[in-house]
Amino acid sequence: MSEDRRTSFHGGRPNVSEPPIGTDVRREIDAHVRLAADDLLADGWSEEEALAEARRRLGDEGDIRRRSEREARRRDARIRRARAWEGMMGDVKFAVRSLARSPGFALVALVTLALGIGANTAIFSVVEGILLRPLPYPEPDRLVRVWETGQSGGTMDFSTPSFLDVQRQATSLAAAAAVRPAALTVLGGNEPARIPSALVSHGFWEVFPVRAVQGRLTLPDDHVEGAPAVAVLRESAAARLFGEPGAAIGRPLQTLGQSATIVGVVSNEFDYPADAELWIAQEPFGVNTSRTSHNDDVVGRLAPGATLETARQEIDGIVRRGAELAVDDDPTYLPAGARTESLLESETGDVRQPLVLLWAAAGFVLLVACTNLASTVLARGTSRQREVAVRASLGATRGRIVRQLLTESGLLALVGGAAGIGVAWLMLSVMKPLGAGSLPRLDEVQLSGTVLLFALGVSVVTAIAFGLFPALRVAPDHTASALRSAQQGSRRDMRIWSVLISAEVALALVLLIGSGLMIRSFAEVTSQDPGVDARDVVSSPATLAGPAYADFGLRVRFWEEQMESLARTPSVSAVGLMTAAPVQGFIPTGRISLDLPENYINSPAYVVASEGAFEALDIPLVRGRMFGPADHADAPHVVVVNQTFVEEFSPDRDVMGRRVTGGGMDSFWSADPPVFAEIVGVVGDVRHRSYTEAPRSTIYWNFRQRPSRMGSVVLFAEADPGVDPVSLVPTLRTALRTAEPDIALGFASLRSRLGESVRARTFVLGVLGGFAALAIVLAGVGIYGVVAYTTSQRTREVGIRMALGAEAGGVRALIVRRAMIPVAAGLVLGTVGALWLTSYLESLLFDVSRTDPVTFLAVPVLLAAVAVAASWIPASRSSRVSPTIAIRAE
Amino acid sequence: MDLLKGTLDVLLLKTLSWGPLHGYGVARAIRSQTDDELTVEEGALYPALRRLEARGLLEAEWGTTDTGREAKFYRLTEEGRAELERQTASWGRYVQAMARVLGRETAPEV
Repeated sequence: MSEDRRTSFHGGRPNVSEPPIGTDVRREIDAHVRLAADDLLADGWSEEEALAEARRRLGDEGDIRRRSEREARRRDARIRRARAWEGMMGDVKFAVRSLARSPGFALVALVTLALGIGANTAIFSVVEGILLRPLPYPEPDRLVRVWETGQSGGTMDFSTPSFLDVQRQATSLAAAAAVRPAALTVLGGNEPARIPSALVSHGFWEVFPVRAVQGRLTLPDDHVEGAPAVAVLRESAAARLFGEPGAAIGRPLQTLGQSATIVGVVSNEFDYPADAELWIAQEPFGVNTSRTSHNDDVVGRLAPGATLETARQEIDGIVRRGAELAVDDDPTYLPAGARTESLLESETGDVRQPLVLLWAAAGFVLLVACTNLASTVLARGTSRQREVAVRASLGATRGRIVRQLLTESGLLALVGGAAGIGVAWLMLSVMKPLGAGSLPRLDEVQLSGTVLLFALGVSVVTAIAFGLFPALRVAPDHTASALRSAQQGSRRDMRIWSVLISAEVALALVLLIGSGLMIRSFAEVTSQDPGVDARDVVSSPATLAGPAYADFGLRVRFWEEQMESLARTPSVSAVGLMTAAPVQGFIPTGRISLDLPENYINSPAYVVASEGAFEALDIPLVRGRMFGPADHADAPHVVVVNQTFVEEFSPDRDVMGRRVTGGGMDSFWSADPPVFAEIVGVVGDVRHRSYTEAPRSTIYWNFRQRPSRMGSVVLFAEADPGVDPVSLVPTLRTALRTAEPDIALGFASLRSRLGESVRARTFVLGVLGGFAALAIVLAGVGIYGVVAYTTSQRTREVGIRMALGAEAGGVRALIVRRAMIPVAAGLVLGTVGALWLTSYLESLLFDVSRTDPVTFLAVPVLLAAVAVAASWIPASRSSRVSPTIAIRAE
Repeated sequence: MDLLKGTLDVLLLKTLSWGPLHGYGVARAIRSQTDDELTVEEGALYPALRRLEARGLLEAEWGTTDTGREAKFYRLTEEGRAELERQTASWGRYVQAMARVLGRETAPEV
């Protein structure tokens, strides 16, 4: 048998089948039949019978052919893949060698790419973690947040009756719950603690069907009227209060003047509402029947089959119908309908726009980096044109050369992308502390698989963006023109470079103007006068939790005594308290009426305060007098109002001495006959809500006469001039703790608290500023690179000019002037682009027009200065070259 | 006796380990080696040979037989030889294990 061999198998690599697979298979089977028939002939069969028998023994020929052909095609595919891989590896090896020959270029390209891709990856990981990743709860896309909408269209919290209507009637919701977030002072653990908490109605754990890691969640029975109060703790808080989560079960916690037993512990992953660690089962049982007291956050889970849209319509209808029934309520504060949003959107809505802005900024940085690289690669390509021409004349096709050059940029982009992931990691470690407290879900931000995939995608797109154009440009159309174009190319390249520089300048300018507007806006925000002098002040939320303080008289006495003794402490110049701090984000308002024939009604902010607070915060008394110890609980009630209140009331009628009633905050307002308080003074305006929101009309009530709102207050202490207020903290804390062990405190300088209120802006600004700086550096480097290269190409021209008597200064100016033409074009283009693009920025700006002339003048001037400097350096170098050397230059 | 599933490949590799052969020669060799105990449908050889070729275990080339007929010859590659060794070893273990079980006279203790 083996003597059948008559073939050489000369080795060599397997080839893709030729002739076509079908023919080859048929030929092989025919050969088989022939050989089989030969054997049969030898056994004495006739030719015809032998062939028929051979085919019969073969089996189903059609089937055999089909299967053979399939296998043959697989073989060919495998060979092609191997070929492609080998070809690519060859290209890669070649690219590595060629990059190694110009390490300077490779380094600059890699650093540029790493920064560009890193910036994008870092921002994307923030966007992904905060905006895109589903919330870490079961079936997060079914969760919704619901608000009532006001008569003027804004959103409000739910009133209890409206919520109960929705909970009972909405068939599009499988479950709904009312949630009241609150920072509660909690006793019963190792020490009094202030814990971010939530009072939750029944249905809460059906909306969030998480599992208890210890014990159980609250059951419907826990929410029945009269049932013992129960609570669920988060692992973190359980560990803090009781040492370990398991020890918490069955233990009582005192808060809000009641005792609640801990029945379960949930994992740290669960944190709705944001940062909450304690969930107390509490039902809004008919406590408040008013449809104008908007106090409940409402969350829901869509019923199977329901969509956001059906829920939206149904809930809106329910709230609307409920409002029509409310005849006793003030129609101004009745809901006009309801708004339903996905929970993820509502949780991240505030930061969506700033984050998208940062993402866009990162995109601009990458574009600047790309134009930068394109011009560098082009410069390098031009100097390599000879090499390319030689390779072309040796038979390399245009496609082959383009592929080779693209491999080089691809390799750069991938290595740069890998370095970019490192840069992103670094950026994140800077950004996360910067954004802490102002960005929701920031702890979920990480370099996840999705983020890495994004980085890879960006790298690939970048490689094509900065590599393809120069590759096509350098690779000759055909061999004949290759050598010629090496000489002719430079003029065409000049034009391309001009375009690239213009583009780079324009892109950088748009980014810089955007950042400039944000910076100006930030300066405006922080220069707003909050109405208080925060410099020498420390403040602390102070909450009394012990049962003794259920007694209002005791409360007032406690605070009167404490403030008196604290004010006597050395280095303390004033002490006071208020139920609202400056720039704190939220302030309750209450409806009041003035004792006038025409029944003046307004809803000013409702703040209970002690006179010491005005002193500590340097809020000036403009007119009249401040309340004092003489205005005790049984004395006639007195209040002071702020200037905005006076302005809103009337420009020409005096507010002093008028009597006010209402406020809606405690039992006082519903007394029958109405109780009145006299306006005895006017104080300066304070921005209680935020830097950016104008002061609202405010009534400051005397704390002696409003003890019911004094369970939770903010304590202010002003230090003597020259004393660091923070140094007072230990003394203050010890004094208060000695008087009342069950008091929760958290001192910080008022200044730092005011700073926290602009943290989100600080974050956006910090990142944006970083990107802007990056863009300006990249643009400078890009301009420098191109001018340096083109000038070196013109050394000869420079030499001739100087030999003919041109001054060095004149030559320098000429070179700089030439470089400035595309820069100027870029500045014009960028300004136009910025005018158009900043319309997306408008809603983020405060007190700065989006066409702010200062920004639109200063930024282009700055960029032009950078461009002049970047081209001046190579220009002055070339003008120093001796003419004789220059003329001889090739 | 019909071939057990999965045994054809190893049979082909073994047959070709003695030297290059064309498909008909392989069929003839298998038949004579197993004393006609194992019957391989001749046609089924061809998809199998090409599958092994696709896996890189065989290579093929057209040539001429001693009798002057044209035929496609198959030869074991290095990878094919390595694969054959692996298969031979695992077949040995398999056969031994089967023999131990089937050769038992008494029930095993459990």
